[in-house]
Amino acid sequence: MTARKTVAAIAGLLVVAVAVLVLGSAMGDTGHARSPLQGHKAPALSGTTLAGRHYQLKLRPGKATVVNIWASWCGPCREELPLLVHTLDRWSGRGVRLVTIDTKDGPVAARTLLQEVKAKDLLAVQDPQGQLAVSWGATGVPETVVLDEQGVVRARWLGQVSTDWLDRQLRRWAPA
Amino acid sequence: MTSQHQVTAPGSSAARAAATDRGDRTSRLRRHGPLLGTAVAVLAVLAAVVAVVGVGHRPAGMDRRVQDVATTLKCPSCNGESVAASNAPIAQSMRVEIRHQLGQGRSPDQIRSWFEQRYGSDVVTLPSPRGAEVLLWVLPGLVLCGGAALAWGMVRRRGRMRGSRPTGAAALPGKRVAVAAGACLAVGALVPAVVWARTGAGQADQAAGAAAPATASPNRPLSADGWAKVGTSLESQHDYSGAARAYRHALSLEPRSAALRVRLGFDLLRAGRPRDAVPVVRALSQHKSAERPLALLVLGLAQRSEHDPAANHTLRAFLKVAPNHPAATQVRRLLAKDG
Repeated sequence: MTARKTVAAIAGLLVVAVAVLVLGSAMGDTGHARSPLQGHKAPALSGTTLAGRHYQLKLRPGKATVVNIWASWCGPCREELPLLVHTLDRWSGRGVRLVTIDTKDGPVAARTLLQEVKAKDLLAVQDPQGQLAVSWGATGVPETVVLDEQGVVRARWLGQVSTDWLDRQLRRWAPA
Repeated sequence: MTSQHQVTAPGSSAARAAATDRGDRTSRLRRHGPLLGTAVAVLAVLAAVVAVVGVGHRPAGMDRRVQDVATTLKCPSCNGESVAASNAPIAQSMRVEIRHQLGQGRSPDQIRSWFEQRYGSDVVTLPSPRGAEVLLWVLPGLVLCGGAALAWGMVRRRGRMRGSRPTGAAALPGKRVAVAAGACLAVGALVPAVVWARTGAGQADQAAGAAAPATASPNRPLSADGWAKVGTSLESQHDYSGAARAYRHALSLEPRSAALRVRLGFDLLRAGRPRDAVPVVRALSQHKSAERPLALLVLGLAQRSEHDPAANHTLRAFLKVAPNHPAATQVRRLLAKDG
């Protein structure tokens, strides 16, 4: 092989490597993502809600649960919250509940956001240090996890969730 | 004390002696120049290594234990950074969790296993990156030393060959040695510098990314909404001065937005600038609107910080228009304390 061919081959390999890296990182940002918790019992979720009450997630047969992790400083969360509330309103009659974790946030900013997006009754457990989010394996905000009626983690979505995905998961995991 | 400057007549023996002296100095400089350059490069790199590694600077006690565990975990939202090195919000939370679990008496292995259950086996960085880090600094050092040795050999060779200028094939090895020495010195000095710069830049990017996850492209001017998102991101980093600046930008684009005005007021208050917060929300607090309760709250708290006697009146007005606001209980407590 001549020197010119060798250089061309190395350049080609470099281009392919860069393309794979760029595509890989672009595809890894958001979307349906397998969680190591999938198929296992959901981690504990308890704390003080934005309304000032104590809350503990308890397994209730006949109830599927959507857990959403958000913060008022996160732009996509701002857009996602009304969609979540609207979708869960449609499903609440079919045994689905929504519990959220307000992570690394200030309660005033969080309440202001909930008022702005007309979701002030949203059940939001405060997580000022981010430990709850970490215990749920979160890598950022927003993130959404779907639990079946046995309290087993079934699906996870990284980033702003879509109605389609949520409906699909709830059709599969909500009580019949 | 003697003067450093002497005046000599041109053409005098003193001037000739001075010229000879200067010629000798130039010749010595030419001979030893590469050696001096090498010494300066070695010292610069050593100084950089000492500065970066921070010899002898390790946190003590619990901080050190947290750092030791955090070093063995990868930040799940970063590119190749450990939880110890990253400033991403999730890495900060993971460090808090590590501290919490160490405080409960859990062992580093138990903690790593806890994180593995949540983030998968990829979250654990084994073997310890310390070995790789040492290699990263030792290898360029070795290359640098090799370069210095080559340069030294070249200088000595030149010294021996002074007076007989090598030509053709005889000159070629000398040139090759010079190129090799230069390459070694350049690589030895550049690698740590680049790694250092990239690590710093990576951390800065991470911090910026964490601070402003929803910012627009830098080539496109931000909209008011974009600036507002930057503001909320900076709030999450507790950078209230930065958040206030972002909201000011947003407000300059949408001067009639009451919500932006209230957020700006809040952040000025939290940034310890109550005097600046007062004029931002005063007008808003006087007219009926959805944002009036929050404007009254910000105004009242700002006035209170400024020891303005009108503070209690403003806070009572807030309670009157928003008796069920989440902050109402705390405001009542403040008013009761003031009597």
